[in-house]
Amino acid sequence: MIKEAFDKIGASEDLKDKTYTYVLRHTKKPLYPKLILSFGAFVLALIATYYIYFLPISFISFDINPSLELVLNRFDRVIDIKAYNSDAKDLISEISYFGDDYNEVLKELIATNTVQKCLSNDEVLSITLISDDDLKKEAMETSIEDYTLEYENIHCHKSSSEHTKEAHHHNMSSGKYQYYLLLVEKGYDLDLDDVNSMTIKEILELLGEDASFEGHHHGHR
Amino acid sequence: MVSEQELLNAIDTYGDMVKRLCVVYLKNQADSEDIFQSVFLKYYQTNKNFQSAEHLKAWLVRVTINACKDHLRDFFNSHKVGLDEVIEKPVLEDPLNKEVFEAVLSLEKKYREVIYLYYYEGYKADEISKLLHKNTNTIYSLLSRAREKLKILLGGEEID
Repeated sequence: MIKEAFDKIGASEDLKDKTYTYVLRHTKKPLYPKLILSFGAFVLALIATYYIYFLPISFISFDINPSLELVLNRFDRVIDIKAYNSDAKDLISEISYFGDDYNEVLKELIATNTVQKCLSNDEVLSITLISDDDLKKEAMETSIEDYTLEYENIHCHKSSSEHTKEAHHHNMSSGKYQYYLLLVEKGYDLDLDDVNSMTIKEILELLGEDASFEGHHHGHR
Repeated sequence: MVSEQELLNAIDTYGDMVKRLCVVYLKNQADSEDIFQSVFLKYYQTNKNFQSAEHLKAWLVRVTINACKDHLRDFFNSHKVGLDEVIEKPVLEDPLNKEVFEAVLSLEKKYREVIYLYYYEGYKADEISKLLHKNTNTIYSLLSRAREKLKILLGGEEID
C-alpha cells in the first residue's frame, strides 16, 4: 500500500538534467589535489626514467694503455666513459658517445688516430665485457667480433662484475684490474700503480699463455 | 573523487529515492528540488570512498535527511502548503494512493521517516537506527505507533 503510493513519486527527467548541470556549474573542485597529484606523478615518472636510463648495467673496458671504460645502461647505450689515465682523457675528447650504441662508440674509438697508431705499432687492445648476464655478454662478443676479428692485436674478454667495485675503488678499469689479479696470482710482486702504468702488451708478455679471463678471443690481421 | 559519469549514474539510480525523502520531510515541491540539488552537489564534492552501492545509498539517505532537517529548522521554511503542491499528478489520479500518501504525510516527522524507510526503502529497524542515530528499540516503538496512527487514518485498514 505504502509502496504503491510512493512508487509514483520520483525525480523528473527535467529535475535530473537540471541537477546535473547545476552541480557541474557550482562545483569548486579544488585544483590543488589534482595539480599536486599530477605534479607528483610527473616527478615520479622523471625519477623512474632517470633511473631506468642512467642506471649502469654493464661495462666495457678498453685498454691499450689509454685505459678507459664504457658505462652502458639497460638499453646497451653508452651513458658515460670513465678515463683512467690522461691518454684516455685525450682519446675520449676525440669522439662523441652519449646515448650511442656501444658498437658505434667502440668502432669510433678504434678508428681514432691514437688507437690506429697503437695497433699498427703492435700494441694490444684489450676489450673486456663486464656483466653478470651471460647471454648478454655472448651477444656483445658476437657483435664486437664483426669489426675486431680482422685485428690480430685486439683481444676480447668476458668477465663478471665481481671485481668491478674494487677496480673502480683503485681507479682502474675492470679489465686492467683483472690483469693485475692474474699477475698477482702468477706471483709477480707488482702494485696497482705499476700495473696501471703498463701497456696491455707488456702485461701479456709477463703473463704469457696464462692471459685468460672468463673466455677470450684474439683477432687476426 | 567523483567523476561526472559517477554523478550522472548516482542521479539516475538514486534520484527518485532522494526526491521521495525530500517529499516525506518537506512536503514542499520547490524546497524538495533545492535539497535534491544540494544533495548531489555534496556527493560530487565528497572525497569519500564508497565500498558498495549500499554504502553510497545509505550515505545519500543520511545526507538527504540531514539537509531536510536543517532546512526545516530554518524559521522561514516552516510554512505549510497544500498537498497539491507536493503530490505529483500520477499520485493524485489514484484515490487510494492519494489517501495513503496524505495519511503518511500527515504523521509527525518522526513517524513519517521510519514508515518511509521501513516500508518503502526496505531498511530493517537496526539499519534505520544507524541512519537516524536512534536506538533500535526506539525505531520499533516508532514503527508500532506509526502503524496504529495510519490504521486509524485509513479507516481501520492494516498497512503493509
